[in-house]
Amino acid sequence: MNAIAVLRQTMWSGWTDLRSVYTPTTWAFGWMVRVLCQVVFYSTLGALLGDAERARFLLVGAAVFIAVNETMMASASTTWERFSGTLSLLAAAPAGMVVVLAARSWFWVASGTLSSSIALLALAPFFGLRLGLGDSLAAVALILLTALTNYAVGLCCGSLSLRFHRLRNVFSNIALLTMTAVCGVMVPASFWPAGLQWFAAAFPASHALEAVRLAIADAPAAAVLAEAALAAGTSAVWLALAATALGWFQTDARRTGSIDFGD
Amino acid sequence: MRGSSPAFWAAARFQLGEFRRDPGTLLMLVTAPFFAVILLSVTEHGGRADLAPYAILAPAVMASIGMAVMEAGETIFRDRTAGVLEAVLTTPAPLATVLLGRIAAITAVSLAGIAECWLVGAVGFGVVVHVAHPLVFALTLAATAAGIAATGVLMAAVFVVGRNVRSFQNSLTFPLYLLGGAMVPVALLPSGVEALSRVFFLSWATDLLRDSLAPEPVAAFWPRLAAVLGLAAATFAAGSWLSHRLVRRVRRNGTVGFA
Repeated sequence: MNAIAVLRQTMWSGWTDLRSVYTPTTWAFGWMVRVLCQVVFYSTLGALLGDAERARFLLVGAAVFIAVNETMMASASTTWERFSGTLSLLAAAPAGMVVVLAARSWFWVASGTLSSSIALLALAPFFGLRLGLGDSLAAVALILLTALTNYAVGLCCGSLSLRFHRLRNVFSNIALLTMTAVCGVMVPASFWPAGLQWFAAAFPASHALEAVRLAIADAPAAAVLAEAALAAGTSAVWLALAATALGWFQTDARRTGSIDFGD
Repeated sequence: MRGSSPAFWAAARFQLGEFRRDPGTLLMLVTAPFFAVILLSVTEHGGRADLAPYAILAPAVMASIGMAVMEAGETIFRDRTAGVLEAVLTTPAPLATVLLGRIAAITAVSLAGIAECWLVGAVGFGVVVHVAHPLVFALTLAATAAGIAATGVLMAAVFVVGRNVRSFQNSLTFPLYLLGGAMVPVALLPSGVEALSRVFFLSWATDLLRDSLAPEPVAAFWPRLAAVLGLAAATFAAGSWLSHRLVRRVRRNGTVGFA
């Protein structure tokens, strides 16, 4: 089976996974209500501080980070093959498991982009953030970039979760909250000491979020593209790390016969 | 009620064992210090040192209510998956009592979040929050814990019949944080939302907890504490009634294991 056929099957499998996670009703009245409340929760900190500009900063950060939040769920969904009992079958298959595990959670990119974009565009008027058509389209495109580039970070957590599947949500939450703290979501990254700023720059989401902020502030296209390129570049490193870790998991699990046993 | 007491304590002991068997259930206590860092960074960056107690209290309250709601759903899900739910329903102990025992244990453990967040403030940001009115704080905290446990029982009762337990339980946290005024007092929310939040015990509790940390005298303490306790009692009554009704329904339909 060639790689394209493997990817097609994997993506179909991911799509059926998404349909088992949400029905249209639970997505609209469960997940989206949570998303909107989460963004409002953080944005109203601006009202508490008595600073409307700060509220808008928080709104953009919190809304864009919904895409990061959802793609970190790849950490948990990477382990679903274990619960389905298909992990050992994947290891035995000639195609191997790395491509399948790396691509199976793609639906979080789609779902994250959609819910993040809705949150930003729907809540912007309530916080005095005016987004024209061009700004909105640029924001949605860059939110897609945020989701795509952060997916690699989610996969890295997923490779750890395959080993320690009881901690699958712990890994993703720690990574997500670390990024939320230092990547310029709630406060500018410059608030933190220089060492933490370097640390934050290693995450694609730092650059992708900055690209969104620049785009809706009508900054020069070159500045937006530079941040987008940094997001893509750092993501490539994370993707290489994830592929290595998944490959290592496959080799080690075959060697020790531990593929169906974690923790 | 006397017959229920052994079931309550047995359920609480079982839940404490569950924490040891599955450390993932302590996720909210792992995330609480991160939320404290995030919220403190906002207040410090905004130059509002006076809001630091808000930023320390909020993640602790979030951890507590979040853990009760998440584990309420997980308890039903795990018991159903393991085939234990049917067995629990055949015992004389009311399901609400068993749930209350388990969720009370969860709530008691979750209060460790207060110490975690206080340490984040003190060690990470040099912000030492003093409790200006210790008695007010202690009584409000006890009432808050009762309300959180009651909310967990109500949620678990709903989850008995729900097919999509997990997607909804993951969705409940932030609406509850917002309506409970965990960080931002509900008085700052739009009036319609504020009115809705006033039927939720947590909005009264968080206001009172914040006031107990401030040096100014706490206004109308007893009526506000009564509001917290009254709404918590109403929540528990609703949870018990619902659990009784829904258990009867799934028994009659024969859908305990499949609902």
